[in-house]
Amino acid sequence: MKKIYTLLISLLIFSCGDDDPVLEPVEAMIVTNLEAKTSSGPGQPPAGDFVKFSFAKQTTVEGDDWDIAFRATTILVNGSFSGASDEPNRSGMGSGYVAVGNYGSIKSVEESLLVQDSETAKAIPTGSDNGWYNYDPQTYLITPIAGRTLVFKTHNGRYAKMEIQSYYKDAPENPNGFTSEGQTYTFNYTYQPNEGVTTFD
Amino acid sequence: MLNKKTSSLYYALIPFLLVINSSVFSQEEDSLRTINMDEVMVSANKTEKPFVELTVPAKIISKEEIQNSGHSRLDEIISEQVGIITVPGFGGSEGIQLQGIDPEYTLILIDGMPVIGRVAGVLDLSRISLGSVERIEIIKGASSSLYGSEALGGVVNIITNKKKAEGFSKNIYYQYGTYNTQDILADISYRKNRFSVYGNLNQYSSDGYDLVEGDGQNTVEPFKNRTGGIGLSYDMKTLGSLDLNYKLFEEDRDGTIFITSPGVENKSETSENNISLKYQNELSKSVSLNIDLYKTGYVNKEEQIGANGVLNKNNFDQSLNRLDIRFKHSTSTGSYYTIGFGYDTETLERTNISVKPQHKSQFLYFQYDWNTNEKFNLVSGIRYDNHNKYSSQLSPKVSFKYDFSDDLSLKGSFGYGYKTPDFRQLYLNFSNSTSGYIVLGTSVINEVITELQSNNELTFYNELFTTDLTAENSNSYNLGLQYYITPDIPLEINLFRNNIFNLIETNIVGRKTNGQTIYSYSNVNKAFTQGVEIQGSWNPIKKLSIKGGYQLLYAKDLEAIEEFKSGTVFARDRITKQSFELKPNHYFGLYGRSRHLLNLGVNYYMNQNKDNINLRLNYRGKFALVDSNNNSFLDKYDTFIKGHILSNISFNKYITKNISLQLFIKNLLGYKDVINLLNNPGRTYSFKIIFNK
Repeated sequence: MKKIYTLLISLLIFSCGDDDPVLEPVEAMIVTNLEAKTSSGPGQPPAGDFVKFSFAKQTTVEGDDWDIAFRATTILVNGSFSGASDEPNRSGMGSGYVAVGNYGSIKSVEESLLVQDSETAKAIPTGSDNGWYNYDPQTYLITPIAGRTLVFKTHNGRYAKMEIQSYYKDAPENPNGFTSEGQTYTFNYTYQPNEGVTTFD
Repeated sequence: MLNKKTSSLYYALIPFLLVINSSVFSQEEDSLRTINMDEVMVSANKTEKPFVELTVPAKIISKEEIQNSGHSRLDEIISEQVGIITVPGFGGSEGIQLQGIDPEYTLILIDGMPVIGRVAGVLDLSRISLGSVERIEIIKGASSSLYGSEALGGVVNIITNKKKAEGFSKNIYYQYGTYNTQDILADISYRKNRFSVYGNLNQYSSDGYDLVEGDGQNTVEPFKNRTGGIGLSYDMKTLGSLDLNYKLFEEDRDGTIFITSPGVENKSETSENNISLKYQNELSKSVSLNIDLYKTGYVNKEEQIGANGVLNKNNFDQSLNRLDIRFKHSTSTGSYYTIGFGYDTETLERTNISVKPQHKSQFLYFQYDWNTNEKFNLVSGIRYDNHNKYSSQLSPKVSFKYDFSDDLSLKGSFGYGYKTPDFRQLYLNFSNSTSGYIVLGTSVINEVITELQSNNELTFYNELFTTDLTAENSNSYNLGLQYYITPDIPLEINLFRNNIFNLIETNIVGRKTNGQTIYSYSNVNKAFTQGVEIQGSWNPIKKLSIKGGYQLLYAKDLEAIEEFKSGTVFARDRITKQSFELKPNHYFGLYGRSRHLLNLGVNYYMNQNKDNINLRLNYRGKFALVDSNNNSFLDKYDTFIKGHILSNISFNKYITKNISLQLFIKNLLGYKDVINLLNNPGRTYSFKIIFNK
């Protein structure tokens, strides 16, 4: 079950000079209940297809024009690297990094930090406390780490920032590692549709 | 030999004597008082020293207090002491937290000899029966200068040895309580002139209890344990005296203890034995010699059938041998010094450890008790430990007491404490295929990693990981005032600070291609615990005694403080899902610590028979065991276990001089937390009959 809607269309930025092109506004969105399930059982390595998402289209996509892709806790970026056989084809110029800081405080892209997925590491590192989440072996809970903002370069060179808010269906106040339905993302993001612009205002 | 009349009076008084001392007869009236000037402590000097003269923060739990309390196991009485709580460890064990320091770092001794069998670092105090305990001595602050490893936070010494009374004496009791809990003791001794012999047997059993209904298992399944001891001593006059003691503990547990996964069956057998031979000789008027020879073993066998039907067997077999030889030389001025030396050998065989490690160490210590004038006492000591696996340790300690007047004294101490890494941290090779992780000790990690690398099973390994594990250590400071408001109202205030370095933590060092995370141990953290402890007592009337205590505690990780300062710690609002930055004052501190602890005890003697009512209230302020908002720190926005009071009351009634009855209500107010505190079944009742002769 997936619901995408525009929350707000923020600031329109107009230029002063006549020659400058008119910039499109940044788009701030919330995505709820994006399912990214593994087809394998509990305790097994994840398997099955990744769910591919496009910031510009504000929805999941089937083609190669995806920006990021999800499967269980793993997030891929669409940057020229051919990963494992069960990972989708990467034909874009995407990359990303994890910024430490409040979503609101991340106002621009630190381009030097952008990396692509590689043989040894993902742009958004996997594993508990390495990237965007913490896994608690006692409660079996996956919790997005507060103050982690994911910054991306999209497949066609635009920028976006994103904050994962929940890994469980309907983003419950107190999820339960045993009973809550997991692998279901709720996140907000801000997309900068203008080429070459690295800010999010 | 005492005549019959005197001796029966003597025996009747035994429960109320803190020290067996001939002057007691003239002080019978005074024995109602909570403070006994005749109390001695052996732990601070490895030789008897009057409690009131000690230079270090210390506490004695007397036999009277133990008997009046109604408790049957060590953890229960320990948790009623000022500034001390017990904290649950792995598998339902109860460890000690002293000055905010974890159970791993307090040395537990029985008659001066170390108790082994720590599981995940925690020594289970509920293993130890109070049945034959004479008194419990507690020293707060690092004491490695006398005791070496583990005496980082302090020392608990359980004294069971006593000089036996002439002829036969016996102490027999039976206690029955809620959950079919039964505690039986028979302790018999016989003395004829210079020869004495004793034997005791204790059985403690319970049907366990269930806090969560409908999960198909009990919270604590039935268990039964036995403790037995025999010993003899012989005084050879000028040739010295010999003491031989043997103690055995056995426990069976079926089923689960606090296991949360349903369908898991568990069986556990534990046995512990120790044997000690002690020789003492007054070589001259000023020189005495002690030789202690000690051997102890701890074996635990566990079988676990998981929900998937897979049988897991775990064996744990640890042994320790010790020789400790010491001389005490007294000078004519009242000062004395102690020189001691000896060696330890320690071995372990256990599942998930491929080698059979043996640790050997030699030690040498010196302590000088300088007592030149009446007002000032300085005790300084140093110990050197040479270890076959770690760098050697030099542990100093200095402490003093200065009497401004009869009513007011100042006490201060500085000590170094350390704990060598244990076998698990060095040799563990836990790579259970059904679990999502692997834990490797630092001595085996290189070998395993090399093998994984050659099999191409490694996706990542931290090449910077250093396998050089050093001892965890601390500097501990105590400064206190002892003030007698009136001779009957003592008040004590002690400030403490422990700086702890090289704390060993498990860290992720690599990952296998199948997704299993590899953990190992390294010295990373620095922490401190500091606070103030206040205690006092008061006898408003002779029959009534009131005592109270308070501890304020701050226990924090230094790295965590830095992280909060640097603005990189955040929390998320559970409802709005917005994250926000945390400030340094939002950091609460280490897990399992309460900022406030409060104790109050009231004892009322109803008559000259010593019939009494004994009530204790123990308040523990809020604390948290886990990081509930997953930012890996304990902060203001985490979920805390609320502050609560545990109260115990006992009624003691003498039917005859030698037979007494006791009614004990534990956790009178019935406080429970079935989610977080599984070791607390709520209010329980028990009834006890005691024969003492």
